[in-house]
Amino acid sequence: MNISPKDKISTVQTAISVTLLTIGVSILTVPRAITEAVKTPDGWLSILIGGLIAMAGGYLVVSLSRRFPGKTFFQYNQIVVGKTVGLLFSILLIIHFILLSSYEARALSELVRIYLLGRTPREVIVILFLTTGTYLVVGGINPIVRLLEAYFPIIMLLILIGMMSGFQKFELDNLRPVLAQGIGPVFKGVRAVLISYVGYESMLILTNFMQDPKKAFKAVFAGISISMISYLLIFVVVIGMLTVEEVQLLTWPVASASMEIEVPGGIIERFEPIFLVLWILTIYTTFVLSYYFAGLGLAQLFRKDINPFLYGLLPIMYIAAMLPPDLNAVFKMGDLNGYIGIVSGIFIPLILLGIIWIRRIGNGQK
Amino acid sequence: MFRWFKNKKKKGEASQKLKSSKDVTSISKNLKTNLQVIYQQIGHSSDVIIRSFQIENSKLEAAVVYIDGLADEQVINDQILKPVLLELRKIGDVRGEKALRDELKRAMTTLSKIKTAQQIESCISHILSGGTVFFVDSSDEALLLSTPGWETRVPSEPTSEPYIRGAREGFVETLTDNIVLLRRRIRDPDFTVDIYKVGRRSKTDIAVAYIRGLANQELVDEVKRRIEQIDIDMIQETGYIEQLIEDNFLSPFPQVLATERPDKVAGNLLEGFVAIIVDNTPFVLIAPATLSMFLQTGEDYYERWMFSSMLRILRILISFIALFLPAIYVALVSFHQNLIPMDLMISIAANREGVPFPSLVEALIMEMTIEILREAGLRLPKPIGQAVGIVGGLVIGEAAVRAGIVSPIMVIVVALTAISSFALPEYAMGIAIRMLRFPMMLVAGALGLYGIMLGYIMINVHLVKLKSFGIDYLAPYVPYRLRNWKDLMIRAPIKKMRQRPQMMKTQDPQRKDS
Amino acid sequence: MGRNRYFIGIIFAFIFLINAGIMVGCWDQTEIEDLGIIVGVAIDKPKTAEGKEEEKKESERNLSYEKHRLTVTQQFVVSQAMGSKESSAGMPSQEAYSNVASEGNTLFQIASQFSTMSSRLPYYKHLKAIIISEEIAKSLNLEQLLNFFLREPEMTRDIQVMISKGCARDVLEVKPIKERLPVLALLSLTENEKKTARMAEKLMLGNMSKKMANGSSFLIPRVVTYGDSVQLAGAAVIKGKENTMIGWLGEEETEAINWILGKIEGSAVETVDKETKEFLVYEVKEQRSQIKPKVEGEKISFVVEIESEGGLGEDWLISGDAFEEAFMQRATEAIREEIVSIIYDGLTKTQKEFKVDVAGFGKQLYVQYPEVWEKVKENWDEYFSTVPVEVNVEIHVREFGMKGSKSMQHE
Repeated sequence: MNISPKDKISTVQTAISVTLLTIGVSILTVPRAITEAVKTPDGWLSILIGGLIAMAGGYLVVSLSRRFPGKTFFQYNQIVVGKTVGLLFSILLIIHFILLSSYEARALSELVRIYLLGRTPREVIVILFLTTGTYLVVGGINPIVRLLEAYFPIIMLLILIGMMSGFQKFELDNLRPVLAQGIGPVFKGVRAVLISYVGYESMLILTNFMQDPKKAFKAVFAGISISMISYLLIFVVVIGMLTVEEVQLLTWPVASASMEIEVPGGIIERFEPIFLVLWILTIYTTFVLSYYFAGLGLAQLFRKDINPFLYGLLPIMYIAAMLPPDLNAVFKMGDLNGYIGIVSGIFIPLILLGIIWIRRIGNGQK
Repeated sequence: MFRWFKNKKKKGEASQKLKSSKDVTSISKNLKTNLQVIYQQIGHSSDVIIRSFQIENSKLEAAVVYIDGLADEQVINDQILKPVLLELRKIGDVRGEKALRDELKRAMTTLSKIKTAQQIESCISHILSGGTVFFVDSSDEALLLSTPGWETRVPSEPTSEPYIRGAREGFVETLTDNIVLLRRRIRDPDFTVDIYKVGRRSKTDIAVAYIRGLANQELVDEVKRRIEQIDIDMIQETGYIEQLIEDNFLSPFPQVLATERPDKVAGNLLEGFVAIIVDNTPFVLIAPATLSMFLQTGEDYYERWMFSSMLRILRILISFIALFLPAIYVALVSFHQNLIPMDLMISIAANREGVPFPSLVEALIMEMTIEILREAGLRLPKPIGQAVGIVGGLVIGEAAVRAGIVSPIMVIVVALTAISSFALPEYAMGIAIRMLRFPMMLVAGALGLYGIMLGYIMINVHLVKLKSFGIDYLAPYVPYRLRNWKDLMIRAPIKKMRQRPQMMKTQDPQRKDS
Repeated sequence: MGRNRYFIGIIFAFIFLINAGIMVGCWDQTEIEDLGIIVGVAIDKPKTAEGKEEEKKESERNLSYEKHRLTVTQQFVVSQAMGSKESSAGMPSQEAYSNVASEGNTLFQIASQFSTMSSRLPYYKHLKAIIISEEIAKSLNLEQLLNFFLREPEMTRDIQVMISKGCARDVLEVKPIKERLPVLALLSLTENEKKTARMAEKLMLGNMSKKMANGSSFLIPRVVTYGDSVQLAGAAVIKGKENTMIGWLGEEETEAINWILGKIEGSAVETVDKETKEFLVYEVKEQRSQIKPKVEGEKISFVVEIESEGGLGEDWLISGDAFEEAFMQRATEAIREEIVSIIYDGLTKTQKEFKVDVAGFGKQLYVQYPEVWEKVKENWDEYFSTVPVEVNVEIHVREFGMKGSKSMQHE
C-alpha cells in the first residue's frame, strides 16, 4: 500500500522540491508578468516583497502541517473543518496540482513548438511528456525527490551560466532610476509575483514525508529563498539586457534574452535552443511533483492504492492541457492556477489555523 | 530498514526444499560396502581410481579413492601411501579406532589439510574437487586428504584491465590462489572468507570475502542470502552469479562490478564492499556497485590527484559522447540546423549533397557497421582481428563516403563515438551505453533535441529508481553525500579522504584519524 | 509488486519508442542539404514597370497597397559551390550565392513566394543582415516593416540592420574579393569598429527592437556601394516613435555621436598644428564618456564629459619632438580642440537640424531626474533641440610609438 507516507525524504530534498516546484515555467515569464504590472525597473523589489509574503505563507503552511504528524493535508483537514468542507479543500488542492501539471505540460509544448519543433503537433509533445512523467511517479516519492536532487545542480548551474553570459549585454542604466514613481507600482507587482511563488503550498503534503519534520521551517524558507534569488537574478539580468519597455512586449522574455547571448568561440550559432532544451528538465521536475501530489491526494481521499490514480490522471491532465485554445488562454490558465495556489497556500491554512486556535480556546475555558 | 528482503523470499524457500529432499548415506564400518557405494556413484567413469591395500601390521584393509589427474599422484604416493605403509609398520599394532586415526594423521603430517567425514556424499564431493579420500576398514569415518594436482595458471597481467601504473598480477582461475592474492594485500585479521558450494551438478566453490567489523553486516548477510538462494545446475563464470543476484534484470546497466584486479577488490573491500570470488574464473564480483564505480579505475588512486580528477571529468564527457553524439548529430542535421555555425553548416550541407538517406538512416547504417567490425575484430584471432578492424574501418569508411552513402562528417561522428565507448574503463558500462545509443538515435530522428531530452530523462528516471543491494545506483551523487563527493567527479588528494563511503553504512566509518 | 513496477516501466519505454518509431520522417524533419540558407535580405521599392502597373491596379482597389509595395531580394547560399574545394582552384566555378527577388505587400507573403521560386526550402535561421533602402526607410515605419523578423521565431535577435544609400539590392550584388558571400564580406566590415569611429555602432535587430520600444531616436549604419566595392560609413538617423528615417549623418558627424556615446574602441583624429600648419594624427586607444544632466528650476542642460587616452600616431612637423613636454602639450591642445569641434558639428546637426536625440541624453535625464523626465518625455525630441549641451573633452596623449622625434630637426 502506497497511500500512507512511509517513504521519508531528507530536509535538503524537501527544500529542493519546494524550489523546483516554484520555478519551472513561471520563471520564463516572470519578468514580463512583473513589468506589465509595475512598468518601472523596480520589479526586483516586488520579487523581494513577494518572497517575504511567500515565506509567511510557508510559515503558516508548515505550522499547520506540523500539528498533524504523519498525516497529509488531505487526511487532516477533515479533522479540523469536518467532512464536507475538508473534502472541498482537498478537491481544490487536487485541482490546483492537476492544473499546475497540465499547465507545465502545455507551456512546454508551446515552447517546444516555438523554439525547437515548429510543426510537431502539440498532442504528441504533451503525450510523450506526460508518459515520461508517469514512468517516474509510479516509483513513489523517493525516486522523484532523488531525480530532483540530481537535476538541481544542473538547473542552478544553467541559471548561473545563463546569467553570467547575459552580462555581456547588460546595461545597468536599464535598471535605473530606482523608485522613480515611488513605492506604489512595486505593490502592483507583488500580486503578479505571488502567483509565481506558488509551489510552497506543497509543504501541506511534504512536511509529513520528512524524516525530521522539525526542520520543515528551515526547508521551506531555504526553498523559497532559492527561488527568490533565482527570480531576482533572472529579472535583473533580463531587464538589464532588454529594457523594461521591450520586456513587456515579448512573449517569452527569458528566451528572447537568451537569444542575445553570443556563445564564445562560436561553437554553436545560437544559445536559446540549448537553454530551452535544458530547461525541459526544470519543467519536468515541476510537472512530476504536482502530478504525484494530485495522485496522492486522490489516493488518500479514496483510501486506495496510488498507482491506478496516477494512470487515471493521464487522460485528465491531457485534456486539461489541451483545453486552452491559444497562448493567451494558456497564460490565463497559469494565472488562474496561481490564484488557486495563493488560496490554498495562504487562505486555507489561515482558516484552518484559526479554527484550531478557536477550538483550543474553547478547550481552555472548559 | 532495507527493502531488499521482500523480493526473493519465496524462491529461497523453494530451493531449500529441493536440497533437503536429497538422501544422505553414512559411511559404514565395512570398507567393501563403502567402496561399493562409491563405485556405484562415480565408478562408472574410468578416471576414478580406487587403490586398496593392507596396512601390514594390523592386517587392516584400507583404500584411497581419487580421480586421475585431478589429484596429484606423486603426493598420494609419497605423502600418503609411503608413510602409512612404512611408518605404521614400525609402530606396530594399533588398536582402537581413534588411536588408529590419530596414528594415520600423524603419519601423514606432511600433508597440509586433513579432515574427517562421516558421509559418503561429502567424500564424493571431495574426490570430485581434486582430493583423495582414505578409507579404513572398521572405521565409520573417512579421512579427506587435500591433494590438488590440476594445473593452475600463474598470475599474469589482466588483459581486460591493463594499468600503466599498478600491480602486474591479476586473478587466476583458482579460487584459493585468488584468495591468497587478496590476503597478501589485506593482512587484517578481520578479513573473512566464507565459502559456499553452488550449482547442483557443478558444485562450484564460491567465496564471499569481506572485512568483518567494517562491512555493513546487513549487506554481508544479504549477499550471503542471495548466494544461498541460487538454485541452478552449474556456475560457469561470475556472470552467472551476477545475473542471479542482481536487483533488476530488466536494466541495461550492470549492477555488480566484475574485475580481474586484486588491488581493486582489496581497495573496495576496505570501503565496505563485499567481494564474490568464484572458482574457475579470473573475474571477481564486487557488490554493490554504483554508477560512479563504473567510471573510475583503480589507477585513479595511483596517479596524482589532479590528473586523476581531470581523467574522471573526461570520462563523464566520454560517456555523454558515447551515448549522445550520433543522436545529437541526427537532431542537429535534421531538425536544429540553427545551432550549427554557418560555415560548418554550409560544409555539412555540401557534403551531404547527394547522400540519398535521411541522417537517421545514415547514422544507423554507420553505427551498425562499426558494431559489426568490432564484433569481427573481437572474435577473430588477435593478429587477424586487428587487421580486420583497421582494414574494415578504413576501407568501408572511405568507400562509403566515395559511394555517397554517408557523409564524411558522419564517419567522424561514428568513429568518435566508437572510440569513446571503448575509452570507458568498465566494459560492462560500455556495453550498456552502446546499446542505449540506438534508441537515442531513434528518438532524435523523430523529435530532435526534444526527443533526446525525453530519452535522457527516461534514462535518468531509470537510474534513480535502480538500486544495487539496497544502495542507490546514483550514490553518492544522489542523495547528496557531500563528504563523498571528494571521490566522485574529482578524486581529492588521498590525505584529504578521511571517510569511507557513507552510503556503505560501514561499521568503521573513519578511514584514518584526521 | 516491485517487479510489476519494472514491467510497467518497460511497457512505457516501449510505447515511447514505438511512438518515436512511427513518427520518424514526420513533421519537423528537414535534412540540412534541402535547405536554402538565406544569409541576407534587401528591401527596396519596386522599380519594374510591371510591378508598378500591378501596383496601380491594386491601388485603385485599395489605397493602402501603394505604400506597402516592397521588393525583397534574398541571398541564398549555394552550398555545393561553397563546399567544393576544387572549384576555388582557378576553374571558373559556380557563384557561391544567388540573389532572388520578389515583390509583395507583406514580408511574410513575399517569403512564402520564395518557396515557389526556389528548389530549396527558404531557411531564415542563419539570416545575418537586413539591408533597407533609403527610400523605404524614409517612407515606412520600421517597426511595422521589421515586425515579421521580430515575430518569427526562426529569426535571431542578432541580425544586423543597415540602411543603404541608393538601391539595397546592389549591396547584395557586389562581388567580394576574399569572402565568397557578399553578406559575409559586409559583416566583416562591421568588425572593423576597432579601427575606425566613422561607422555607426552595429545595430542588431534585438537592440533596434528595444530602441523602438523605448520610442527613442537612433542611428543605423549606412552602407554605400561604389561600383565594385562596398563602404560602411556614416549613419541614417531614425526618428523615435515615428521610426522613419529623416536624414543622413556624414562620417565625421557619426564620429561625433560615437564620441558622445563613449563607444570608440580605436580611431584616428587628424588635426593641424597651429604654428606650423602641419598635420598631426591622434590615435584613440581608449575612450569614456559621461552625459550629466543638470536641472535648475525649469531649465534643463547637459554636460558631456569625455575622456580619452591614446598616442601620437603620425606628425608632419619638422620640429615635432615628442620627447619635449611643450610640444606634447601643444599637440594635445590642438587635438582637443579638433575633437570638440567635431563633436559640436555632429551635435548641431542632430540636435538642431534633425531635432532628434540619438545619443541617449533623454535616458540619462530619466535615470537621474525621473520626475523632470515625466514632464518632458512626451515631446522629448522637440524639447531636446532647445537644450544647451556643453562638451568637455580631456585628452591624454600617453604614447608616441617607437620613434619620438625626427632626424631633420637635428640637422
